[in-house]
Amino acid sequence: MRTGQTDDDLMAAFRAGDRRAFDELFERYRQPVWAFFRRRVVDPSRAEELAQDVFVALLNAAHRYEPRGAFRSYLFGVAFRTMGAARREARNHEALAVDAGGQTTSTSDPAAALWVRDALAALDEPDREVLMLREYEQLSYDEIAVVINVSVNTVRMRLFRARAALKAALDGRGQKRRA
Amino acid sequence: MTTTHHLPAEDAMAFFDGEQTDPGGRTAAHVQSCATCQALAQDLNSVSALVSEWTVEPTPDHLVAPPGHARRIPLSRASKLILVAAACALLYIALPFLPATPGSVRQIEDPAVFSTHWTRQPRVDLGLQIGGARVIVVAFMDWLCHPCKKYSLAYDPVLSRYERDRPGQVKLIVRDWPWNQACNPRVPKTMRGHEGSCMAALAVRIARDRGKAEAMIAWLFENIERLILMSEEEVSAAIKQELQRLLGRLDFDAAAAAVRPAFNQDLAEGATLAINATPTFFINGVRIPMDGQLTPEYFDRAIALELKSATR
Repeated sequence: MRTGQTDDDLMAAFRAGDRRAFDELFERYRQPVWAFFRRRVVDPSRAEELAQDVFVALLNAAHRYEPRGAFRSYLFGVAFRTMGAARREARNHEALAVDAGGQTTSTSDPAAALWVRDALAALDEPDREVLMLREYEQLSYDEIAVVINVSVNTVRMRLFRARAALKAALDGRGQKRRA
Repeated sequence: MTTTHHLPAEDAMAFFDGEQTDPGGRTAAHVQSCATCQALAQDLNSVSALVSEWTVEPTPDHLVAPPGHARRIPLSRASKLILVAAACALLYIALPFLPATPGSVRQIEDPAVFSTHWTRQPRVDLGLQIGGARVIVVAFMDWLCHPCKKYSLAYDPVLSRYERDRPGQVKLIVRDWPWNQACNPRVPKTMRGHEGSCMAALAVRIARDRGKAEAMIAWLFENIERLILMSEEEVSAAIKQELQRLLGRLDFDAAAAAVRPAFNQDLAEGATLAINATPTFFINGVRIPMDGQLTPEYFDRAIALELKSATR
């Protein structure tokens, strides 16, 4: 594992013909990209296909990649667009089960996880996406703005609105317990 | 979360997120002494903590890095449409012949396909026979679980209608599966918010023996938001108090001892069935997992299919 190399170093190495650099990037982002789709798609096999599509797109577009921002935001930008295309395709053909909420895992509190999933699903889609990109994908405001192509102020507004709505929906669950 | 504070709440949020520049440290100084800002910080932390409850399973092993020089063959939009349409048609034809997967029934929109798929679901023999009942719905529940409340309330009208139109033919049997290790050592840990689940299960059983189960369940569901925030002592006291109100004077310990054998029987059965989520429903032995709960419409449809096959 090339722990000392940044993502951009690895992309540069891959562009120069080093296949192992791509494999390292894949290992770094395999789980985050999978989780991105798993929380947004009902069918796990479909989530897997979409995750695979992201890495294929990354591979095919590597020669055009320019390190203008964080690689992470570039990658999730690809994932976000892939998700958007899948949703449009699902709407057009009604054959693919693409949903706002994917499966919860039994390793977490199932009831709490389901509750969170349902509460997120109840948010407006633009607000939900901003919240999920922040909370799960850990993107900065600037990175989210680039990924979804809106201003940073819009990101702040949507994120605040989503968090307030979620707080109201969850009604302080767990807060007093931690206090 | 307030929006009327003199430091705009969105700015405070951005500051707490590390997204707000703070020249001179004025914002930091302000939020340290501002109760509103401190409350907002707590709200943000609680939302983040709750959101983090939703984790996903590890990446499937077969998600592997694509080969180095693979490029997709460019397809025209028309070609893509033809391919997708062909895939849909193939899927529609092949679906009834595919191996049954319990978790997939929820996503089937076509009633005819659902019918075919439902009949192919695997069944477990729960060894239940109740009078003239042709359909037995078994529900493993935790009374302090939100999805249990949600689906219980959603399915109640369906079951009530069957009881009215076809009395005795559709029976619901509720089994206990509290997410609390104090009474259910089969669960991996006591889930947060379920400190009162053991007490709730016993209380419903005690109430059921005295014809008051519906009232007890209704009270638990109505107060679930409050109950899940209480300590074990507080929630136990609140449930006992409600039970006393419903049933009058009661020796709780004696009543609990009387229902405990049946309660333990539920846990043993749940362990045998590898219950890992609540609610888990079985409709004539067909398991409906939590990630694929049926909508009330399809719950109704599944019961109707079972009734139909039972009358053949």
